[in-house]
Amino acid sequence: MDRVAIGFSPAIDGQGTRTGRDVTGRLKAWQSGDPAALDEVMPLIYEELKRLAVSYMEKERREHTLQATALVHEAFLRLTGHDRIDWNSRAHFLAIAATVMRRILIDHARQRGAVKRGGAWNAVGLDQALDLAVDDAPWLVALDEALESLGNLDSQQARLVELRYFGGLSFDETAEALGVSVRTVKRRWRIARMWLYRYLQDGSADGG
Amino acid sequence: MAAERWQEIERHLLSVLTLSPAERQAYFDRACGEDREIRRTVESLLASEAEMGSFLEKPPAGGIRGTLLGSAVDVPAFEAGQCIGPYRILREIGRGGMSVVFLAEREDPSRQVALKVIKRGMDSDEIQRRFFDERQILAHLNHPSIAQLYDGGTTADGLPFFVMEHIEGEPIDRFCDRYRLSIDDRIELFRQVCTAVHYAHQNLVVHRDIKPGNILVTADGVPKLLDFGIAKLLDPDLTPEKDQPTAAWMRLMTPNYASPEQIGGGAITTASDVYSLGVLLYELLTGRLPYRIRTGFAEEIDLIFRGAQHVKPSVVVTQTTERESGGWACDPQELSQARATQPAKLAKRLRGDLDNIVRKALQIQPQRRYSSVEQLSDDLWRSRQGLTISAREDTFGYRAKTFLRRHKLKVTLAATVAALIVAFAVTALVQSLRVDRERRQTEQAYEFLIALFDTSAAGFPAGDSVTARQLLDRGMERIERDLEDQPETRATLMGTIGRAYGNLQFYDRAIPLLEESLHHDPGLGDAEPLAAANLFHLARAQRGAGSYDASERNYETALALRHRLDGPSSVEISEILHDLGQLRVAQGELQAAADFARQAVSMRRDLLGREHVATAHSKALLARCLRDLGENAEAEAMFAAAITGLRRASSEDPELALALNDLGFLLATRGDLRAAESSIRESLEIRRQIFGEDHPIYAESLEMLAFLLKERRDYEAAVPLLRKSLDVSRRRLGAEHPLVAKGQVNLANSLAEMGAYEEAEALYRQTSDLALRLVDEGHPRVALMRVGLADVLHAQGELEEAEALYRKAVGALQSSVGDQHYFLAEARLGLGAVLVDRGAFEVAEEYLRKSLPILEGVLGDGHWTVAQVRSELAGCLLSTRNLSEAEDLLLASYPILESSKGGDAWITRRARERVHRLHRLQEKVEGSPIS
Repeated sequence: MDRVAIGFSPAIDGQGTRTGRDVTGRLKAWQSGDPAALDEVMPLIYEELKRLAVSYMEKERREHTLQATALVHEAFLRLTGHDRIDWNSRAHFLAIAATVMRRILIDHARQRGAVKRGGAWNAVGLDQALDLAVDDAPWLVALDEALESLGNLDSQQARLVELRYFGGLSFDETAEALGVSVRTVKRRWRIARMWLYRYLQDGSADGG
Repeated sequence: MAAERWQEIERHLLSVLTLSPAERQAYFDRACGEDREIRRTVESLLASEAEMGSFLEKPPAGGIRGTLLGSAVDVPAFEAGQCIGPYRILREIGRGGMSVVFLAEREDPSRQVALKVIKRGMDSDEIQRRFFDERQILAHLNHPSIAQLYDGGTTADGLPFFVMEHIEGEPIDRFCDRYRLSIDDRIELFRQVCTAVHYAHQNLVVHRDIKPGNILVTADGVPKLLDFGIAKLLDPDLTPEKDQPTAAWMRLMTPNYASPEQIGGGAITTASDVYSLGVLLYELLTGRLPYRIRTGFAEEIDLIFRGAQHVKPSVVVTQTTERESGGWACDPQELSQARATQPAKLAKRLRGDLDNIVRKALQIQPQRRYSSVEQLSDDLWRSRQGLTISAREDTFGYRAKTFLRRHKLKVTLAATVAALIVAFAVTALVQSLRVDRERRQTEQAYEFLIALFDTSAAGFPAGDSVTARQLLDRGMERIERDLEDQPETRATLMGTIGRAYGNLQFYDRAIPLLEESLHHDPGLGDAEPLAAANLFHLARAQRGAGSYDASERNYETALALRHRLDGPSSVEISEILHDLGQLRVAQGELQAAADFARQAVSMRRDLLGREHVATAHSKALLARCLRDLGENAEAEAMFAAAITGLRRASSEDPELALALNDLGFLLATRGDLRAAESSIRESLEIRRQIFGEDHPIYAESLEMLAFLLKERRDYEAAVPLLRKSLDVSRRRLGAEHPLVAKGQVNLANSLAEMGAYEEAEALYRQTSDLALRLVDEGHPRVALMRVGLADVLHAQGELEEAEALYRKAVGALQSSVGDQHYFLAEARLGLGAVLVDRGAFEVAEEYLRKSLPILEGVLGDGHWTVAQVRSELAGCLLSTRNLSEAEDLLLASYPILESSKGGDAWITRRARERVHRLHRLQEKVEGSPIS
């Protein structure tokens, strides 16, 4: 497989050197297995992302659909300043971006209240489907919880869903990020979907 | 559930997923035994498979961007019970990039409404004023399928809000999928939407933002359109004086449903709604969008709107596509299930009328779409009734022809002179860029252009080297700016510059210019030669860009025009015939291609002479057709004749390089690697001189060299060359180009031979999808790709899928290239080999025996592919105990495989195992009591 190195080039502006080092350090810690490290920098990342999203909206008209992964990439780039994070590959970066995206969507959905367990997504009225986008907040929260449960059984399976659903990674990219074959990814994706669907329908996947 | 338990469940699932329902039953009885609990769990999970549809296959609604914007843009906080004007808020029901929607209640008379508050950042006074202007119109939109707009105003904080009918429903795409509506039912629902949109159009309201999220279907199955006219009210660029859209608005819209003119800032009309409806129809029929806009950067959108064709609905539904951000996963099986049918039936239902109707609705130029929504709806109805529809063909060629005939040339003398000068300058530039020795001429041409287009003479930074492309871009800008009020002159110049872009292979720029020039120019009646030339160049550019159907139509029209001007033969006609030959090659119609090439050769020989360079060009083309038809010996001789003629004309001709390249390939195929290498290296050198190293054509030569290296088993050297070459092609041509597909196949082939099966497989699959977007299913190259993929699968032990692919390829090749072609022989070899492994020795033997003489004839007795057939045949005979013939075959094949493919190659290992097996069997026979 081709490995596209995504080593960060120096940030465009000179700002952020101090936070830069902090963020880099925290991200590195998180990469090497400290789950709390991401929590510490998440607010920073979130703020930066919001700022970027708005500035893109105000910029030239065609840039507005900037892909989410590109947004996350740019946010990291700005936050880490002149420091470098050595991602092993593009897939590796995408995997991290997927986690960030999941966090953003879920945090946002939680903020909006409407937290219910299990079968909540059926209870969500269809009248919520108004406005520019369908409001999936309660459903997302339910999915996140289901995903937690799946993760307790099989962490790789949950990771796979995070990459595919929240990160929008292709099968190839997912396979690369997880270090398994594409065939395996496809089979396990199917099974994970079945499991989550059952869980969300019945509040458990035990077949009871 | 415990983790260990889950592992067990997963193991059962993995086994059971590939089984049929009946087999599953047996499996459970066998594998689960008494463990009822685990069986129940597995069965309930299996049940979700049938129910879940596209669950999790679509990206999260709203996406990251929407979420970020939603929380970043200043949001008003309204709580239940609070009042906005006379409305009392009940609860929030939705939230998007620019607004929040509440369910609200009006006390007198009591009525529930949807109240939409626009976020801060909009100029409320202006919106108010516009709302006031438009409200008569909007309030009078009374239609059962349009959510009524009741009222509008500003909140205490000065935020604009609108009050609308409150609809409980589900977006139309979700509704259709959830209830598994058939194609007919989907169309019926869609036509109800059309009726509503048409009604609004008659009342002079354009929706401007049609998309599934704005069309809710109620529990009774009635579609309701939301937000009619709101888009216009919110458009910050819109002022009464300047009814022009809409740059700022576009920032907030998803471009997936927006028409090209909306994205490009052109005038928005009812035709824009027709386009968006076309996108919606495409999505309801096929489950995906006609164009996938991944990043939304300008280049990508430009690419799409400059002639990239969507894949026909009937074709796209047969493809398995992966989810990418913003698009969704589609699998033919699931897709047809959601439409209550089977994959083959679905494709058949969409083929023809529905393909054409969608295409007409999605035309890039508004005037070529349906002229009204009613017409679109009517065509859908007519198709259902079996009546002739209006969208039978893309009539651009026809229209251009009649259009041109109807009008007179009104181009001023000055403009004609200007056009000539540009044409001259460009020609000179192209030549000088190629050989770099006519510097003086370039400078002259440069001055002409400066004088013509840049009277301020401050055009280009001093000392900068100016490329032809830059000059043309500059010229174009000037034309756009300064000739706005002289449409005829403008059209003529656009044609000229379009041709120049085409010559430089900037097809994406050439095509729209030539189209516009042909389409727009109202005065070309007397200028048929010019029209014919522009059509010819348009066809050529479209061929270059891979739009073969459009190209073919325009060649035909140009040819007809030429025949009327010149009679049966002329140099120009021979040029069109030659090009048509090339087009047929690209389309895979080899016999037809050879016929055109022969005609071109003989016409050119008669008009220009045997030695003329143009005659040599056509000979080279003919040689290529012959090669693809499997007439390798005749092709080799024809190439040699072409090369002699081409060498005489110039030692630095791209055509010469191409002919040398092709001859090299032929020589390599029949095993003369030494002669092949000298031919290919000569070609490579010429191409480097002419094009430089960052050029797809140079990349193609690299690929050839890699092919030679591969034939020598130097994979370490071959693979990087192939990657480099592919890199250049992708960068210069974009990912969706025939040459890129070819490069990918070659890389996949080398990877497969060196044993990197996984990457090879992925690449083959990716390329098959790509190829199907570029050419028809029946194209021989598609079949060959299947053979390549099948080879990889076979080597990995995936016998069943491999066999199916081989059979598909054999079937396709039988009808496309005929029984005696070596492509077919190769496919039969593969099929035979897989059947040997599946134990079907008799059938396998039959395929292999058919394949052997043909491959021997084309490749020669000593070729490794021929040896491979013999080895597989020996495999059959060993199993049927015909030991003596098996021995002969192995003696004639194993040494060849060993020396040309190496001992570790998969096909060599198979032969070696057979040799061992033969020895064991012989010992047994000799050792047995009866001899």
